[in-house]
Amino acid sequence: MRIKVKPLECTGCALCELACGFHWDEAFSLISSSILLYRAEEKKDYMGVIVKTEEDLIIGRPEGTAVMKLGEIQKQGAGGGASAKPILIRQACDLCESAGADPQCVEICPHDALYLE
Amino acid sequence: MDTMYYGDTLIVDLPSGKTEEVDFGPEMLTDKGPGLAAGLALYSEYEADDPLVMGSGLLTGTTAPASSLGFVLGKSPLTGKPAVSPLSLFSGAEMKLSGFSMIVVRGDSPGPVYLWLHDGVADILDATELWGRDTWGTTDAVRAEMGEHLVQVVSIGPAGEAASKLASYSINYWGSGDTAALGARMGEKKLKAVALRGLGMLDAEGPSDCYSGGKELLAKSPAWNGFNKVNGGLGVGDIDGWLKPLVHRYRSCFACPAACNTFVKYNEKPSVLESTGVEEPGMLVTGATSAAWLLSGGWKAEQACRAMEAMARTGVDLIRGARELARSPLDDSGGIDGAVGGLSGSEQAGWPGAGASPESLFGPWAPPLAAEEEWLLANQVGYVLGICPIYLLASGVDTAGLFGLCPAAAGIELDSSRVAGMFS
Amino acid sequence: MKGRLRRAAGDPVFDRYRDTFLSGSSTLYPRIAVYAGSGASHSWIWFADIFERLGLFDVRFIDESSVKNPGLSGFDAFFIGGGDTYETASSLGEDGARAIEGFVREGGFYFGSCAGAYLVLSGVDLEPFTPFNLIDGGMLNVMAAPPEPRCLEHKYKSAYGDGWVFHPVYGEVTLALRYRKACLRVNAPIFGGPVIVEALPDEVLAEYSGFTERAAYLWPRREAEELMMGRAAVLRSKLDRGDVVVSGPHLEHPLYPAANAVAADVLQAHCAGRPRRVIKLSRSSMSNGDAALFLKEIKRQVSNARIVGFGLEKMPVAWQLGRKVWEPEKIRMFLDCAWERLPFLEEHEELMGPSGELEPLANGYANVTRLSKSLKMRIESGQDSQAEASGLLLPLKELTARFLSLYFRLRLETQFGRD
Repeated sequence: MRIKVKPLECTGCALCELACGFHWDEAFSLISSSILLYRAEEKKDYMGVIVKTEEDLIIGRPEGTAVMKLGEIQKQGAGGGASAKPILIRQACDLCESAGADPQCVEICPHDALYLE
Repeated sequence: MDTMYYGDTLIVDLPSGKTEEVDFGPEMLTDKGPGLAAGLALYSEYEADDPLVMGSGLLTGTTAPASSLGFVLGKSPLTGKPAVSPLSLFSGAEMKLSGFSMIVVRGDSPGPVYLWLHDGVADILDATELWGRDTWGTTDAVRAEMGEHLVQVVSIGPAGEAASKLASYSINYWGSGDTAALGARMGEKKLKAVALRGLGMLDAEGPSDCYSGGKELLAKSPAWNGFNKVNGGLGVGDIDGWLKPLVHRYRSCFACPAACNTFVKYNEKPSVLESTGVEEPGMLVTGATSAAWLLSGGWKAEQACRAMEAMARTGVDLIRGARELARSPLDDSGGIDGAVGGLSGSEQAGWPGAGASPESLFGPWAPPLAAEEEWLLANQVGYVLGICPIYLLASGVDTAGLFGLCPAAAGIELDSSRVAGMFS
Repeated sequence: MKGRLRRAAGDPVFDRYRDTFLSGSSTLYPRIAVYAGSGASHSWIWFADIFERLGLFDVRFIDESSVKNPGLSGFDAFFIGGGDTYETASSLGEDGARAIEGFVREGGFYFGSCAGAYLVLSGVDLEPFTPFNLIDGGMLNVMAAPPEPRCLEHKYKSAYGDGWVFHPVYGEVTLALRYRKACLRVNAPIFGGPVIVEALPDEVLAEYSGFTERAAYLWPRREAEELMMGRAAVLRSKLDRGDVVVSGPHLEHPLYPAANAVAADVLQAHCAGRPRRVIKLSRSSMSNGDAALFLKEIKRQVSNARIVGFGLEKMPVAWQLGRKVWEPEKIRMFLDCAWERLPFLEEHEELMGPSGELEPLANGYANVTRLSKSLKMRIESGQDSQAEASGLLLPLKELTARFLSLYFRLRLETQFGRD
C-alpha cells in the first residue's frame, strides 16, 4: 500500500503537508513532512505533489505521475526536472502507522487528490 | 506557555531604521482579543505615529478550514479612517510563521526600504534598486535576493510609490483585495515591500485537539473550484463560464477547501500542463468582484484578465480599477496598459448589482453573500480568527466549531458576541 | 527546539545517565573530542545532541590536525561518526593512527560508528587503513562483484581493493543487546555501517536481529536477513587501559533514545571508577555590548542561509565529495544544528568573552548565506555546481564545529560555574 496522487485534482492548499508535519512533530509546520507540495513556480502555475517512501519518490506532476528510485535522483542532471528532487532526507512516509492512524494526508485532502493503493 | 502566537510584537520605526521587539503578552489575547482585535489595540496605541499594523488571526496556519488570513490595518487615504485589507494566498500563514505576533510600522522612511521578516528576525533593507519596479519585478527581485521562491512578498508598484489613491498592495504577483488604498500608505512611508518567510513550527495549547478539531471541521466544510459559489449578490451571472476558455487550474489559499482563485493562461494554451519556456503564461484571478465588474461591463475575458494583470503589476486596486474600466468596454485594438494607466480613481469600491460597499472597517473584498449585519460579523470573526470571511459567507461553515478550537489553540474562549464586542 | 527532536530529547531514559555523570562522585566526567575533520560527513553533529541529553558538556569538535598535534592526551573520550572512511584514514594518516592508539592504551575511550567503526576494525586492512587496528573484527559486507541493488544505487557500494563494500539494507534495523542480563531489543538506523564478523564472542554487545518497516532493501529482504541476522553490530574491546567500541548502526542518531542509551551505557561503564577530574573553566572577561550585536548577526545569517538551504532542497542535484554523495538537505542539517542552539546563546550573552569569538562566526555565517545564494544561482542557470558545493559544504562543516565548540563551552560554564 502506498499513497498515490491525482495531480490535477490538487489545488495547492498544503493541508497534506500540514497534516503530515503534524504527524511527525505534533506542531503546525510546513518543513518536515514526507509529502511535499511543489509550488516554486508560481508565475507559471506549475504545481505538483511528491511523496517520499523508504526507497523511492512518488512524483505527481501535472503532466503525469511517475515513481523514481531514490538512487536515480542522485545522478547529477538525471531526468525529472526541478519538481522531482526534493525531500530526499526527510522522514519517509510510514502511512501514519507509527501514530496508529490512517494516512492523514489522504484524510485531510479536500479534493481527493490523494488516495491509498 | 506556547500559544498560537509564539513571537513578540515587532515595532518598526521607519524614520530611524530601527526595530524593537515588545512582549505581545497573554493579556493582549484575554483583554483585547486575537487577530485584528489585537491589531486595533496596537493601532490605537501607536495612532500618533500613523502606523500600519500587520498580523494574522488566532487560527491562521492550522488545520481549521480556510485558516489563511492575515491583515494589514491602517488609515485609509480614501476615508481618513482605519481600514483593514486582507493578506491571503500563503502570505497570512507566512506572516504567522515569520515569527512575530503583530507588526507595527511607524512613521515614514527617509528613503525606499523593504522589510524582510524571517524566523523572528526583522531586517529593514534598502529598496533603492526596487523602487520603480512593478510588483512582478519586485517579487522576482526579492525572491532572487533571498534565494527562495517561497518567500511571500507583499509589495507596491508604481501606483503605490506615487501614493495614488488607486494604489493597492499586491501579494506576490496577484491582486490582494486592498480596497482601502493601504498600498498608497506604504508608498507614503517609502515601504516598497514586506517579505515574509518562516521555517518554524506553531505550537498550540492542546496540539492534538487543535489539529483533530480543525480536521473534523474541514471534513464537514464544502469544497469547490471557481468563483460562482461566491458570486451571489454580485448579480453578474456566470464568471466561471466566462473565464472557462482561459482556465488552466484552480488554486486555493492556504488550508482552504475552496479553490476560488483561477489561473488563466493567454500567453500559451491553457491546456499546457508542463513547465515550459513561457515564463509568464497568464495570471491568477484572485477575486470575484473585479472579474464581475469587467464581465458586467461587457469586456471579453482575455482582455479583462490582461487588464487585471496590468493592474496587479502596477499595484492598482483591482476592484475600483475594474469598476472604472467597466464603464468602457475595450475594443479589439484596445490598449490595456493605456486604459489602466488612464484610470482616475473616480470610482468607489463596491459590488456590481449590490450598490456601494458599506463604509466600514472592512472593504468589499468579501462579496455581499448575506445581509449587512451577517456580512459584518463574518468579517469580524474572519479577521480575529484568521479565517477567510469569503469562505465563511459562502460555505456556511459552523462558526461555533471554529470558536470551539480556540481553547485548544490558545487557551481562550471566544464566541460571536464576544468577537462583535471587540469592534464596538 | 520543537517537534520530534524535543520529544526525543525529553525521553526519561537519559535521566539516570545525566544524574550519574553530573553528580556521581565515582564516575569520570569525561572531556570529549568529536572528529569533525576531513572525511567526516554530517552525522558527527548527532553526537552533540546526545551529549547534551546526557549532561556531558565538556566537548570539543576537532579536526585531523588537532588529533595529530597536540594529540588526544587532554581528552578522555574520542568519537568518530559517519563519513568517507578513506578520506578520514588518509587525512589522519599514520601519525593520527598512532595518536588514537596511544590515547586508548593510556586509558582513553574510543567510539566509532559507521565510518568510525570501519576505520579501526582489524579486518579492514588495506591502505590507508593498515595503521588503524584497534579491535578484532572483519566486514561481512564485502564482495568482489555484488549484485545490482534494488534501490538507492548511489548509497549501495564503494570500492575496496579489488572488490566492493556494499550495504544490503539502509534505514532502521533492530538490535538484540547481548550485554544486558535480559535480552533487550532496540532500533537504530544503519546508513552504510559494517556487518561485523570474526569478532571475539565476548566482545559482541549487540547483534542484528531484525528489520523494521522503515528499512529500505537494497538486497531482497530474505537475502539481507540471511546475511545480517545474528551478526555482530556493536563490539567492545579493552586495549591496555582503554576501551574501544565500534557500531555499524548510528547509536548516536538523535531520534533513537533507546539506541543512544546503548552508547551511554558503554561510555558510562568506561567512566565508572575512574577519578573525577576537577573541571576548570577559565574566562578572560565578561561580555561587551558587541556580543548582542554579533549574536543578532549570527541569528540573521543562519536564518537567511536556512531559508536558501530549504529552497535548495528542491534542486535537482547531488554532489560527490570524495566517496560520499552529499544532498542539498545536508546544508540545512548543519544550519539547524546552530539554529536550535542560538536561543541558549542569546539567554547567556553575559558569558560571551571578547567579541573575537563571535565576530568570526557572524562573518562565517554571512559567507555561508552568500555562498548558498551563489550555489542556487549556479544550479538554476544549468551549470555544474560541484566546485561551489564543496566551497560551501566544507567551510560550513568547519563553522559548525567552531559554533558547537563555543556552545558546549558555554553549557559547561552554566553547569559548573566560573572560577
